[in-house]
Amino acid sequence: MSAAGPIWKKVRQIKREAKGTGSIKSHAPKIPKGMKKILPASVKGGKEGKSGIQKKNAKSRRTSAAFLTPSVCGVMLFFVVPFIVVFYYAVVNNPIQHHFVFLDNFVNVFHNAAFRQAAYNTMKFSAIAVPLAVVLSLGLAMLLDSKIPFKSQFRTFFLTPMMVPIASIVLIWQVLFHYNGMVNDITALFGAGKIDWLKSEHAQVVIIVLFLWKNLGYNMILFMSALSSIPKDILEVAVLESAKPWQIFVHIKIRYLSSTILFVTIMSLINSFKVFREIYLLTDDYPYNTVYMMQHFMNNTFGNLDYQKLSAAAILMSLVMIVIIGILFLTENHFGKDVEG
Amino acid sequence: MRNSKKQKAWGALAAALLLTLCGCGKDAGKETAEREGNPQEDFVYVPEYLSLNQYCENIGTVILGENEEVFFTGLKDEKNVLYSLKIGEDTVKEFPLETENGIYISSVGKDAEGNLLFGLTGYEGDPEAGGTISQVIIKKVSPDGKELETIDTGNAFTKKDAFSFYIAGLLQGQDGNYYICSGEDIYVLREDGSLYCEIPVGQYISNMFALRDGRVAVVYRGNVGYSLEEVDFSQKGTKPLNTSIVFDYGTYQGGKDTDLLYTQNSVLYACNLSDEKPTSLLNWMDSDINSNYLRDFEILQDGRIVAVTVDYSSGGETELSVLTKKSRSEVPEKEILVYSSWYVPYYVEKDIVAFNKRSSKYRIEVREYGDESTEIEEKITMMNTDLTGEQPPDIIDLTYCPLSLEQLIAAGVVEDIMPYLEADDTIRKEDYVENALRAYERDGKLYAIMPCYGIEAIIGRVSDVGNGKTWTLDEMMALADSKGADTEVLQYMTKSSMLHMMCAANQGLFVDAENGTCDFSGEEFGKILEFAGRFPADAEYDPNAPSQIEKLRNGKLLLLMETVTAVSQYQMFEYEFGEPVNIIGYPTFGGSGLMLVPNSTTVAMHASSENKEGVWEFIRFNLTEERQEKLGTANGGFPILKSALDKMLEKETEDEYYVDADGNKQITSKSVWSTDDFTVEVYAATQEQVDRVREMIDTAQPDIGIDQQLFAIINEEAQAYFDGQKTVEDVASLVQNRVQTYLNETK
Amino acid sequence: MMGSGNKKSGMEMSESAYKKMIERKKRLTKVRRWIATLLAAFCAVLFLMPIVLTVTNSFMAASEISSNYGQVFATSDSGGKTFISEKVNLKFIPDMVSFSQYITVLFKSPDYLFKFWNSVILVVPIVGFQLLVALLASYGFTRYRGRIKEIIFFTYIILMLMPYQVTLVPNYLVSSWLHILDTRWAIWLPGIFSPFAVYLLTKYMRRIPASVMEAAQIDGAGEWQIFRHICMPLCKGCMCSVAILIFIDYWNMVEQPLILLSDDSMHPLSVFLSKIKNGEIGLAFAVATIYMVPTLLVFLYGEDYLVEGITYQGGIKG
Repeated sequence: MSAAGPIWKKVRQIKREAKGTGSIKSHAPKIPKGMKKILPASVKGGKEGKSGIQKKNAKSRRTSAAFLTPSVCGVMLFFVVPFIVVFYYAVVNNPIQHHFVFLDNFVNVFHNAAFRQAAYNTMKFSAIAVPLAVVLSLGLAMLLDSKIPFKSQFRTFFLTPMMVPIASIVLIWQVLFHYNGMVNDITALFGAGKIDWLKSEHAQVVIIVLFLWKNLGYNMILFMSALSSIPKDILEVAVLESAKPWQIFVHIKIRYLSSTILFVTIMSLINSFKVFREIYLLTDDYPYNTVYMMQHFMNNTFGNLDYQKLSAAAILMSLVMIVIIGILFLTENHFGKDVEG
Repeated sequence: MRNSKKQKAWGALAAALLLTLCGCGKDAGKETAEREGNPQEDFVYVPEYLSLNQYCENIGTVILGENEEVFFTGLKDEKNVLYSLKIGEDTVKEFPLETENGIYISSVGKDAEGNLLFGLTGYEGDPEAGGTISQVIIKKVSPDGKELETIDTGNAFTKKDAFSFYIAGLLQGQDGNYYICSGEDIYVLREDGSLYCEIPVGQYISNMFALRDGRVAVVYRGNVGYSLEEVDFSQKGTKPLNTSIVFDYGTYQGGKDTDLLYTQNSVLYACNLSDEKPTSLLNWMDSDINSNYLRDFEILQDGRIVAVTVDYSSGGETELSVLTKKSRSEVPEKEILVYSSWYVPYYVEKDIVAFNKRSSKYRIEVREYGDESTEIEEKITMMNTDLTGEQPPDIIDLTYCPLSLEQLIAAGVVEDIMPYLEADDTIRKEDYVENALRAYERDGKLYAIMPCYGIEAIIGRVSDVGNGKTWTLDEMMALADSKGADTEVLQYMTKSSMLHMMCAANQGLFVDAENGTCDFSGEEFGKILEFAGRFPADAEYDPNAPSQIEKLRNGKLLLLMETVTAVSQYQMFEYEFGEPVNIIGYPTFGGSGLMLVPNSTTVAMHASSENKEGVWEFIRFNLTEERQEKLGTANGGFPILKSALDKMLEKETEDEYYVDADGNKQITSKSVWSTDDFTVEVYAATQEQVDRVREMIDTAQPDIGIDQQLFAIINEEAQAYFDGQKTVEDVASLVQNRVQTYLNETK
Repeated sequence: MMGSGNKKSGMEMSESAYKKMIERKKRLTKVRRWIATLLAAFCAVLFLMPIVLTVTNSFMAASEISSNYGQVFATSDSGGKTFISEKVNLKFIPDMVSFSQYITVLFKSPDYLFKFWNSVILVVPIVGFQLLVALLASYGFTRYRGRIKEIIFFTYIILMLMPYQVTLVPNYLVSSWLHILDTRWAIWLPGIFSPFAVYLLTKYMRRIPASVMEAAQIDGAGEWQIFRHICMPLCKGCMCSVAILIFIDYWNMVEQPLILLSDDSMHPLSVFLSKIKNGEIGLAFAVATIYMVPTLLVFLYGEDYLVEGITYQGGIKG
């Protein structure tokens, strides 16, 4: 096999060699070599009869389930029960009369123009902001991964947005994107006209910028740690084999990062729902229609005592969520195995 | 080694966390315990009421006597009469009270023996406009109606301004001297009526009374709270009484078993000056007594408490209440109706007390959300969770509710009361004014009835606004343009309030509630913006500015915006403008522009109330003929009951007479409208005016109120136009965009 | 540490070509490094600006604040935001350094410190106990994965993604059933059982090779011992980073106290911050700065853990 052969094939090969020592090197206590060999044998041994190990295993299985109890009980009480109540509200006509209406509320909500607008905006926001957050934070991580000075300081700087209380962020964002604010002053330098940012077609830009600003730092950290866990030898081999940087990036780094990318995607998705508090404080109950999000819809229907609509919307939203998460699960199963083995 | 150290550290951390949890948990527990720790008292004061107006319509003064009796004075056949009524009995004794012509009974008091003292005042000129005092006489009458003495105070008070001198308190001390208080001054008169001294205290004296030991005390606002001081006869001044109790605004008097008896924040207290803390006896509210109306109260020998209340807001209704202490178990429990209100105006409180008094089965209790410091958002959340919660209120006040009726209907919170109305055999739908009923009718269902209403309108000179019944914004703008720049169109109107008014009057033009669409692109919206933009951004009250009437008469003020609640207001407006006026609606692009607004307790029934019959009982309470005929005068406004409205309007055209000294009938004023700047005596209205008012009532559109959210959006965006930052088109398209989202949501 | 394969491939290249390549790479790298540094610096400025603004503005006197921002934050009578025409100046450096805002916050009115303490009381137990509960649960999820556990775990993720508005009313109902409404328990309990930490910790633990724990099991260790002596020490870094994330999340909570604690005196400072009214903006900057201090300390202490602690994470399933 020549040196110019495809690198990715080699990666898998080397990865296999490095396995077991590479990834948990710094944390896992040293495992006595013999143990590894015993393990599969003992598990298999279970088949042979009622060995002590199997008994122990069954007991441990029960014990390990016991570890779940406090959390599951709490989650049942404070998250699942409320969710069931939400479900109940979604199938009755209103919280006072409790007439069962089956799917009427869902049909209503589905045909509601405001709900559609909100769903569209929210999807659009997530569809733009989440990939952007992944790509840009990966870029930042790569930037800091190259040998630049003051690396740790930069890292800290990029994390600072996490510290700033929401109210201050909103305060400053309002000043920045005000009709007579700084951003318009700057665009005016380039001859652009005044834009009332939060009340225009560009309103989503403002909240996407806010979202990115707030979340890039943490995502970057996730990527940095993933980058640093790529075995150095593989990269060096690639360099020596005259691989172009983009080849290294696409064939080695992205491969190694694939599971982190999915994790960051999930985290960004979570945070894209949390950013609503900022959007809400920044705008109003009824903002310009391009920034009217799902959470506005929910907040307002709550304020208007329209629980049935709120609940139906919530259920619809969780269904979408289940689908998205399910797809991510499957994707990960597919790609994850490729790298991790 | 290291491990165990770590373990300890973990243990310590966990313990610390646990402690914080427990500690705080305990605190919280304590709080609830304290709240519950106030055990329900096992006794109640059960009131029995007796209206004194049944004996005499115009009660002048009223006082409780020493021997379980109440005295009051009134006019009978144009003559002053003293009535006395033994507590527990229902027949009165009448004694004529001889007074000269032109002399009025202005105060009543007691001497140390329990005889009654009447302060009589004579005036020179019109007492309401610059007149002076001509004479003051004190008349002493024994409890059995015998005139004992007449003390002429000579010229002690003559020439005093009739407006500032008024006998607010009168008594005779054990020393035989007479004490009179008026405004900020105390006057001490010797037994023969000559002035001994005049003590100015520099503050308005709220009460003067004799303590148990005979000392004369006064209460007035001091530096901290209220101070209680005794009159120092020898020093001709006052000196503080030695007590550690802190007093506040209230009603004070001397007690029999204690030094003092007083009411403060609707609680009755008794105390001795040497006590550290007063003893609270009862809360008047629990016995359905409005403490603001208290005139006199006393503890009887057998422990019963008597109180006299005068309700001036309903034309001086005077009531004697006898409160008997009973153990709670003896008293039949009333079913509680919870009244949910955003804010409780005085008339609601009055209606509730009146209902509670009347009803033997139900008792209404008010539930408020938060207090003054609670943020609006929080209050809304509290209200929402309460309305949809486990124990919802039975009655929902609609006048101040932040949720619109549409929202309440959609949430299924309010009950259709049409079936109750139809099933009721004394209340018939067709007996009530349709236009006012329509205000709370949606899709053939009725959710509330306003017992009493006013009409929001604009008032202008006939020479300015013409004789028409409606007008357009163009006409109003042309009128404004025709006047000089220094002419105000409407007083204290701001851009926002003008915008609000115009949007409310023309809501249907922009919003199609049925289809959930809106259109702000028309030129009408631009016109409204342009017009509202002419008004100032802020309107601050300027105490140095000329009065409203002055401005109106000088032509510096063009129009008035008022809620018309009586026909006689025509006469007031004419007086203010100085020439004939026309009452006209808000400018519209069609439609009458007059708005019908509720002016009394308007409530809805909660759909999951367990006591719907009780709620209907309350709603119909205000609709009965008896109540309806009273409401108009009590609240100001027109009754919804047609017969009551007819009666009221008919009365407006009738002249009122009095018989002068020569026995001739003379026309006299029916009532008086007065403000800080002027007083107008009102005579009978013309048939024309009455007809116009009736027409207004029939054509006015029920003010369903502009949706708060809708207006908030319009107002916010309009500011950019007012500030010259955006064009009408920009604003209209922004409003269109946001309002459409709002409408979509509620579809 | 170099694999043996590297040397082999290096030898296949000619010596001079190799040197040239290195040379060129070095030069290129130098230019690139400069560009990278500048880029990073530019980003850093953008990221730092709001925090710097908050801090510097807290040293401005009230008069300066109001002249700069006018009524950006004014609200109309009806509660909506109003449009303001005045020029809005963003200023980094105060004309005159003033401590008046801090004096008000720290000394003149004890209210702010009291609310700050409320924040601490509300957040610290949540962080501590959520971590504890989550550690146990994650261990449970990690050991012996079965279909049921996977379904439960999936449910956790879905619940974690629910926006707060959805469960607001039911949450209120549950709290009132449990009679914990208007007590701190109403905030603590849902916080403690939040699935967020479970998710992160489980992801982390599942990366620990099963063999590590199984080895101990064979040595005769019970589940508790494995958890306590093998699993927990391994998760130290991750626990720290999760703690930081939980802390930040709850330190900024607004809706929960507003709904569940009707008593103003129990509200944390974050609630006050979100309700700033016109005229209090200067104060808000000072309060925000003070409010940032604990977060800053947490960061200074835990930043390395934050980086290190997530090293093993990747993928939702692990």
